[in-house]
Amino acid sequence: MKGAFPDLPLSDRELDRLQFGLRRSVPSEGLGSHLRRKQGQSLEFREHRSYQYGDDIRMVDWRASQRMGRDGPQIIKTFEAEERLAVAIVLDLRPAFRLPVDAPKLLFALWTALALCELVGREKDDLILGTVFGPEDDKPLLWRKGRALREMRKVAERIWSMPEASLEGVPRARTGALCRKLRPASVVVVLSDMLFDDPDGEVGALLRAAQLRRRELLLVDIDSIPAEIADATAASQSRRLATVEGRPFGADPVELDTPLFDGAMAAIDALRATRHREWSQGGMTWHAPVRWPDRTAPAKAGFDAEQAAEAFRRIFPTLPVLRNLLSRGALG
Amino acid sequence: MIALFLGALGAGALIAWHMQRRPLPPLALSFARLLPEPRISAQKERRFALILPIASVGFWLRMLALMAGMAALLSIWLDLRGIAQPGVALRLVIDTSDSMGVLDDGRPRIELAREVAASALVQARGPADLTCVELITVAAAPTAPVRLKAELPLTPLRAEGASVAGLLTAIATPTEVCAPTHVLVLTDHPAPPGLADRTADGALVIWAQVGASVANAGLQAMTLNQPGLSGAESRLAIDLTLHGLTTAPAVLVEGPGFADEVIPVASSSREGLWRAEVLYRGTGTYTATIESPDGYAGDDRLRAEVLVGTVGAVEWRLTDLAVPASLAAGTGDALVVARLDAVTPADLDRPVLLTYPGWPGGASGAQVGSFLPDPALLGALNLDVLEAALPNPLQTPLPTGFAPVMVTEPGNRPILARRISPPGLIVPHPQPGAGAPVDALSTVIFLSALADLLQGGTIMPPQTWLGTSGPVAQAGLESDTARALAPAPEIRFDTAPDSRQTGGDLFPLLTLLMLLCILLERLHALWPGRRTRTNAV
Repeated sequence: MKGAFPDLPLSDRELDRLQFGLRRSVPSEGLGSHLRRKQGQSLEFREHRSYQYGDDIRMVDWRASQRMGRDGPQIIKTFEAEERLAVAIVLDLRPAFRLPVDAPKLLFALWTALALCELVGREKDDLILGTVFGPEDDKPLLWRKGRALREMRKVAERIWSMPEASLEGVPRARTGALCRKLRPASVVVVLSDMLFDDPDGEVGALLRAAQLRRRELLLVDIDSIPAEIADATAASQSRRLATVEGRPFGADPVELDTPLFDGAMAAIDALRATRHREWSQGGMTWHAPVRWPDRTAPAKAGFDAEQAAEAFRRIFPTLPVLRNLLSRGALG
Repeated sequence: MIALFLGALGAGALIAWHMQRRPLPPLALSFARLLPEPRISAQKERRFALILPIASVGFWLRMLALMAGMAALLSIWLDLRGIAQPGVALRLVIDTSDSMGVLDDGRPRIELAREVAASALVQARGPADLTCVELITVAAAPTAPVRLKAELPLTPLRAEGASVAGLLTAIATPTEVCAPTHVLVLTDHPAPPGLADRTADGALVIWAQVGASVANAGLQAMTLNQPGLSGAESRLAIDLTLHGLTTAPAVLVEGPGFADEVIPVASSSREGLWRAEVLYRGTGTYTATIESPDGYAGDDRLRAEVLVGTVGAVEWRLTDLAVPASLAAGTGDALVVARLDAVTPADLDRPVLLTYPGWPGGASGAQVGSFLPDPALLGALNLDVLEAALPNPLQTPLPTGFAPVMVTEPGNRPILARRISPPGLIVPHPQPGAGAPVDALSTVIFLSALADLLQGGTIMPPQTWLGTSGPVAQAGLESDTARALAPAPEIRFDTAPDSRQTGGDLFPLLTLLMLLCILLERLHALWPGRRTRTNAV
């Protein structure tokens, strides 16, 4: 799919309805890997507890302490801490992530990032946008207090219009800058197909770091494999395969048969299982893959922008990551 | 034809192009890195798909563009075929009749004609491309066209007279040698009035007259005038024409045993015709000669072989009737006048006037039956009188070759009979002194028959012109050497289009249509959303 970056298929009204529906159906407290709220200096009362060494003497509730008796402990009054949530969105920019040609996974990821930005920005939370496998000079972007609303669209267009790198080369992950940008108690949403090669463990290190310091890691696995297999076998039973990410196939046509794709699926399942073990630090949520493009039959004539938009409108509200974010208060 | 061939070739190539099964680009799978080692396919990709591309808009647009292009080529080819050929194909028509030997400032006219022809060839080889030259020489009749590969050959004169008709025939002669674009006529004849500028095939006709005016007197004919029963003498007349002369030269006439020099006198029958007459001296060779030198010598001497006997000589065998005084006695081919029953079969092979006994007595009770309109024999008769005194018909069968001119009714018996060749008549024997009306009737019929058989006239014996080097056929046609020399025509060879253009109005329209189809095809192929690797070729 070429041309200008297609607009986000969801209108403001649709996002409002989605946000409203999520608030009704998802409890805003008590869920999630980490508690967002902690003791602070706000006006919202948290609890009374006994004075401990180091507590601020100004926090003692003298009336409550008097009710404990002369020998009773001093009681201090604590308040909730008001903290702005930071949501980090991490995009996979591998050339292979621009496949399938008629409905790139990158399009779904950009649309998802845009929609999340809209939802997160309404709560005036900070937003961090970072990439893996992106250009060497690509640095994470940080927008505070919901100012990402206007900028995110330009960034998405810039990413969409980036010159396509060769599929043949092995992409290299660059995560150092993003790791440094991650803030405590933030939510890191990774939009990828998780099929990349990570020989030096850079991505793994990032994802593990995204689970430390009360951070939560949400993996959105975009899976185009069934659609790609269906399209390939519908067009021809044998065909030449392009070299992708350093995997050559020679110049001869190969059989696009069941054993070939079954073998691939087995390898992919094994890879997912291995990575789940390697990456999980207790704060990772890896939901079932999102089928993209979601279509019932292979489309020989291609998957145009309108069909892609329709599919996105159908898929996005069902993403489990929305409930995770809502539970962290990111969506209001 | 070439356009059709190219069109068919292009259409075939276009169909083949659209039936190509283009190899699909390599398939890029995002999970290719995790694929196991695939099996190499044993099935090769087919080069062509045997499916006609009738559903392809691009195919039809390209086909339409091709057809428009071929039609444009065809139209321009048709136009070019109607335009003058790129080069010059020259037909030389050279008059080689005897009069082309007439000297003009000491040089014969044929030499002048050759000079003009050579100059024209040089001119034609100059700016224009001379593709073909053919030569036709014309004397009494035109020769077949001959293709010239090198220089202009010597064109010997022929001892023949030529007419303008022969030259015109040569101009229009169809040929397989060249398709002439220009016809150059070189002759001493002036261009006939109304000569078309172009032939039916469109070739430009250039008529170049050579030879200055030269005065000439030419012998035209020698005729024998015989007087018949008038008693006058037979005379030999020599006709001559004067061209550029006002007085006729003396003519020397030589015949059997005589030679007379005669001064011709102007004829009243035709302007420019002069006549010299001598007494006819019997059969033999007669020669007329203009002794004074003039422009053309080929018509100055005319010889005729006169084999006609003296008209008026008869072999008279009627003993009861005196021979008329104006008739001379003759034998051989002379007319035989005799009774029918007294002639021999040999006599019947000669001109004869035969009589039979029709009177006296006559055919009582009979009437004039059928008769042929024969004014020479019946013109002087009163048929009422004849019917009142009708003679007896011929009782014997008619000799071979005779047919009745008049028969009796009833009976259908011949009274008068005639033979055409040799001339012969059978009439009732004259009855002088028999009393009216038989005397008159028989005499009128007999003398009418005799006058008819002895009828005089003009005879043109076979004759030949004798030139300086031998006989010249039809030299009288060449006598007019005093014609005014027309200005030399402009001999110009260009390849400008002639009037045979068929019009090329369709070419720009067809070209525009072709370009429009190509543009539409490109727009269709490159239209956003349709641009794929396959159909945007």
